[in-house]
Amino acid sequence: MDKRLQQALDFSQYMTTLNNQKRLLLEKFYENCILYYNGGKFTVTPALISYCGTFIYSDEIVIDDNKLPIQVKTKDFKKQITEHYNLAKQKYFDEYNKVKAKRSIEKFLDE
Amino acid sequence: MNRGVLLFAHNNKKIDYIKQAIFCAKKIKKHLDLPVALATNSKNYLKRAYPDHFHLFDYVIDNDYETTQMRRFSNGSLHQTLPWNNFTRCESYDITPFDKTLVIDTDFLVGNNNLLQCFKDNTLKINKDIVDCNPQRGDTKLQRISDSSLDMYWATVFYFSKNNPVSKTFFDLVKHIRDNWSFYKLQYQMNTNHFRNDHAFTIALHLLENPQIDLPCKLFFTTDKDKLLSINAEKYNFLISTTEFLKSDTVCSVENVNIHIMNKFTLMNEIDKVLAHD
Repeated sequence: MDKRLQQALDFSQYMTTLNNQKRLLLEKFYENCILYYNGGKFTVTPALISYCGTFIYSDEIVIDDNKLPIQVKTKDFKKQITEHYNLAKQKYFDEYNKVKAKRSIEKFLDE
Repeated sequence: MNRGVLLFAHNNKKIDYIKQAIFCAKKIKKHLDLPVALATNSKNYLKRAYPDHFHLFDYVIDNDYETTQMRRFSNGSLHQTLPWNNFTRCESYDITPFDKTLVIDTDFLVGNNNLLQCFKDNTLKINKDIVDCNPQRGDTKLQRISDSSLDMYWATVFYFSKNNPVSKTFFDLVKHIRDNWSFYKLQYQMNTNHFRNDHAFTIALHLLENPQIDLPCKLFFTTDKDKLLSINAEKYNFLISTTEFLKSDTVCSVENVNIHIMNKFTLMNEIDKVLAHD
């Protein structure tokens, strides 16, 4: 095989692996954003956190991922979703930086 | 209100599900810290072959079903046809010693504590959405029970509570589907003769108008075409197959996730190595 083609294929293989690792990390981040609260399932997003900032009563109703109305204690709910999201994004950030620093396929298998 | 995890292990002559259950139970104890019940037809084998690991199971329940069902098990490009006894999963409700039960396959390895959130309420929970570690596979057989039928729910991991009356109705219905499989496989246009829990559960949920919600985790998986290369604590390295032109197989690595590893042969090899180090 032509050396240039071989090099291109090797790089392509590396990129396939890298992009797949990034995709799996993103899926893991989404998983870590899931929070159960008062029988409801919430995938925490910046939009949800921001929306909670508009609440004026101590008890509010929020529609969860399964389209069910869930009553929440505003202060406690906001605290929990914010902490949950911050933890998930910090993990994502740390792991993403580890992955992007790997410059060969073999490195992905290292501890 | 007691809660715990239920595992099923029915050995055949090549696949040691008991060994997988031991490894799986270790992961459950580590991440979820819950009691584990094992339903098996090989209780004596467990005592004889793994006396040091017997304590991992808080309950060992005798459980068997007479069947001649065979299935092709792959290991990368190799495969062999072996007995497959998967008929008792629908008895989970009857045999579980817990009020709130998480049922998981022995080849589903827990890597974090996200599943603990299940126990916060009594709703039946099971997943439809999956995350394939191989982005190029695109196999619709993993997404639907047949080309023209329903989206598939995965019986790999599910949660139920005895406080929810739907749970009993659901498992009774799955038993009915199991006992009348020859009808239901035609009714739902499945081109397989095998009884598969994923299919029976999907049909039951469909008939009950979907009373379930999603689990608090994603279902990461690799198929039996992929090979598990190594396990380093909570990190799993795989060789994932590809069919793309000019591309060779590549690697993939996941850490601290709940993952379903379908290649039983490479999983058993790696479990041997881990257990030898313990």
